Amino acid sequence: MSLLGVGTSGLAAAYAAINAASNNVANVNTPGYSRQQTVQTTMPGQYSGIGFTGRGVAVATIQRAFDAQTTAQLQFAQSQASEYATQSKLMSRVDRLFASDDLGINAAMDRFFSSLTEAAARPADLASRATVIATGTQMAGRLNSAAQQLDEFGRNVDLGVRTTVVRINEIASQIARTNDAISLALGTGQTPNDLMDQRDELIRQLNEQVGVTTLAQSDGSLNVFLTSGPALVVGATAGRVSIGADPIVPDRQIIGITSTNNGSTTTSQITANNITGGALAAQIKFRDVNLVDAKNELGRLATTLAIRFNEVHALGTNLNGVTGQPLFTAANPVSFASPANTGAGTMSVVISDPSSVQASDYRIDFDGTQYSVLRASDGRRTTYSSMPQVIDGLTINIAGAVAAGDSFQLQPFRAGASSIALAINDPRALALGLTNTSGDNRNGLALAAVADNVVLQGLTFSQAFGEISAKIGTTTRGLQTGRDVSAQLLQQARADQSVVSGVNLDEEAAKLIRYQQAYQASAKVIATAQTVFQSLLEMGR
Amino acid sequence: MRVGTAYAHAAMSARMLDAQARLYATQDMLSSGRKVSTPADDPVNSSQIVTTQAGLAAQEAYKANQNYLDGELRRLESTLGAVGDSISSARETLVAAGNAAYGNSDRRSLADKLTSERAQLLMLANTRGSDGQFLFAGHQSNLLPFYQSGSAIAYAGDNGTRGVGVGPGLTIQSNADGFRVFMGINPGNGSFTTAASATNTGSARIDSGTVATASALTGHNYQLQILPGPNYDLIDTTLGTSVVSGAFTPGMSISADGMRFTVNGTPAAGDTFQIGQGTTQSVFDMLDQAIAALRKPVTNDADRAKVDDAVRQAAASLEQAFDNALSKRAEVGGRMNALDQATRVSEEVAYQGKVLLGQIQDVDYAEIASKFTQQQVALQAALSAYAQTSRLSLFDYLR
Repeated sequence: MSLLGVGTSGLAAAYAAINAASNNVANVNTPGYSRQQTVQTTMPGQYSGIGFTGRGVAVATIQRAFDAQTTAQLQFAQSQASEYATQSKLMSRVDRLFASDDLGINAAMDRFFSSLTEAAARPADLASRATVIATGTQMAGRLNSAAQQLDEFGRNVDLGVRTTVVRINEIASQIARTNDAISLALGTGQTPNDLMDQRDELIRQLNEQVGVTTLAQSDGSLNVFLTSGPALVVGATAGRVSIGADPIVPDRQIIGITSTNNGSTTTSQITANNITGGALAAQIKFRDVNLVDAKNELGRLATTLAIRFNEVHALGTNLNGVTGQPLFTAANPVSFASPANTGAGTMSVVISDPSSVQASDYRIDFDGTQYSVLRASDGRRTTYSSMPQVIDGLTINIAGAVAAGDSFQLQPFRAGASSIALAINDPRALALGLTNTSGDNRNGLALAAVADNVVLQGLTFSQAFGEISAKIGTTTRGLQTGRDVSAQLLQQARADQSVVSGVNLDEEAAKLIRYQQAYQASAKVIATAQTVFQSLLEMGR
Repeated sequence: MRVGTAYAHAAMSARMLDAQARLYATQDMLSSGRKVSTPADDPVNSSQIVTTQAGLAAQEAYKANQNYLDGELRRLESTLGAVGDSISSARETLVAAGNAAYGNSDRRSLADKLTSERAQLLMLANTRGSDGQFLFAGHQSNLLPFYQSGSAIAYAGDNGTRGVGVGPGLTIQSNADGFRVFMGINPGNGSFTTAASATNTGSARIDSGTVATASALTGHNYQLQILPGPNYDLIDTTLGTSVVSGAFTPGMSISADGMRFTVNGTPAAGDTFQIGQGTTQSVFDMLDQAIAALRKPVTNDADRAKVDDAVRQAAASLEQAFDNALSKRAEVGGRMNALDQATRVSEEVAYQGKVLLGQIQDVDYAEIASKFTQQQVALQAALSAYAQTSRLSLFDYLR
């Protein structure tokens, strides 16, 4: 009796093992799949006078090869690699915009400066004057198109954020559903390996979109949190990431997360400062930091170019006998009061010292007694007890009744590069002389000298552009290095993960051989048992 | 250690793709010749690339200006040379007029010759530059600078200078001040003038005088009076005092207040000679005076003395004009030297800039070509390793 039982149990165990190996072979290329194996135990022996007789083998469970640490490492590496890859790709486009080739912004500036040098030598030559008009128009156009491209990048990344947010919400609800299914399945007393794998893979995919951390719960579900803290998934309930319009700054997206925990919901904002990991962090940082920096830098350059050339041009007299009109037009600094303000204060800004302006946005908060001015580029905060004040070369005034809690936004150079334009189109209107005599080139020399003068934070215009290009280059290069390093770390994490959980076909082939032999042997045991019974039966005839 | 089969394939194919990407990047460098195409390729040097390119572009503009200025200065220099030749030739004509054997008709033909010299000078004074603007007009370069106004030549230009930018912060003047070249010339010997009064009846002639002691010059006007005797009295008319007096002998040299001059011939009592600071004069006026004097018929010694005096004065003043033209020409020569220097500095700066840019931006072909070969080998190795390891499988041996 027991011999047949032993044989059958061996047969069943070998079959289960062959099944597990086959399942492994079948899933060799399934993303997130962990190798499974049967866990065999000996059946407790049966007592008799001669001691405990073995009763065969039992399959305790089917286990997935899994290590929580390795999996967490992979997920973190994924969020880093995804962030760097996305941000470096976005930033490379900006980097290309600042390439110093013949089509570069600096080449257009150089051509304008050169045309002034040449026109100053021949003040009566209308062709040389026309060249100044042409190169000036081209320079302004080049700055405009660079600014438009930056805007276009901004619109594209806004769309990208939408896609990312949709994907995050999708994955979050899948995780919530899987959490539910897992805690149900755990009620059977066995671990649903494939569901666990699926959930780990979902979390890895979520990390591609946004960096998250997880916390295992006693019912087997995993709670998922953004690195900034708010919960995205609690048990079987998914939170929601949403996009809204900024109530203060028009044309700006803000991103929020609504978390639901035990029926109570909380909403918090996701910003470049509090988000890390995944495509979303990359997109937000690129849009709110890198793009804003690039636009402000370019805008500051364009605005100060306009101011400096206009200043000198106004000292001259053109061939029509008229004092030099503005050579360029450029947008004035943009400032506005927050729509949420309760006071009636209005803000005005004038560039009073173009040589000391900073490429930054500002925010001014009034707390009832103090004005706190925040420089966005480096987070520096200065407080003043009254207005007007001169801050970074800008004369800022807030007039009217300001209420405590009111805030104001200031974007001095955001529109500088997109709005700069040459304001004259008549070669005769170029004021190359101090008098309207055809041989007077004194103002032309002064205009040409603007290119050699130190005009912006102790730099010439070319040097200032060089500084911008170095900044953009350094940022891009840093992101590219981060991308390469994090890709390597991800590769390493995948390798580690594969050591623990990966399916090796040769190993599975060996297992197939092993368990096939075990199966054959157990079949032989049954055959033997049959022979034994047959002998017994024949004895009784 | 177990290696997951799927991972092993993914890792090998990733390595293959990496090797391929690196090879293509190197190939790109080889075909473009550039190792830096965007700031991120070399952030440390990107600022230097921008400023070096700006410097090179500026040098291009300076080079264009240098070529233009070179033409202008050559034209100016040759014009001033021609002005000098013209004045010199007029002076020779005047010297010939001193010939005692010449009669009225000889003098008239000399006057005709001078008239054509004057026309020649006027033409030179109205020379235009390559851009059609007048070289000697200051800032009024589109207006004819020298024109006949009544009996004299007037100057319509101003003293504006036109600097041409030939280097960073370096300008060299391209035009010349027509007033200083043709109009504002100190007459006489350059320090003072001497002239016989028109009312003289004697035939005495005063020479142009010389400066004996420059430090003793007063800048006053003087009158030499011939008194019966004959005696002379030199009066400082500015102060109204007599400076020196005594008995007059023809050919005697009179020295006073740093000046020395000689009076020859026979003066009549009551003749006077003016010694003074003469106002600046145009070269055209000098010639006009000489021409007028030469055209006046001579009937007696006194007339003759007046013609001689006018010719002498004009010749002395033209010498000043000649020296003036010469010094202006030398000044232009100095500018040409400065331009030459600026051109050479420009070329050097441009060369250095190109070398620097080349070092930063351009590929070292030998280095990149050998890198290309290495990467090719690496890719081949990756491909063959993939092909060979993926053939190894236990399943192949299961029968």
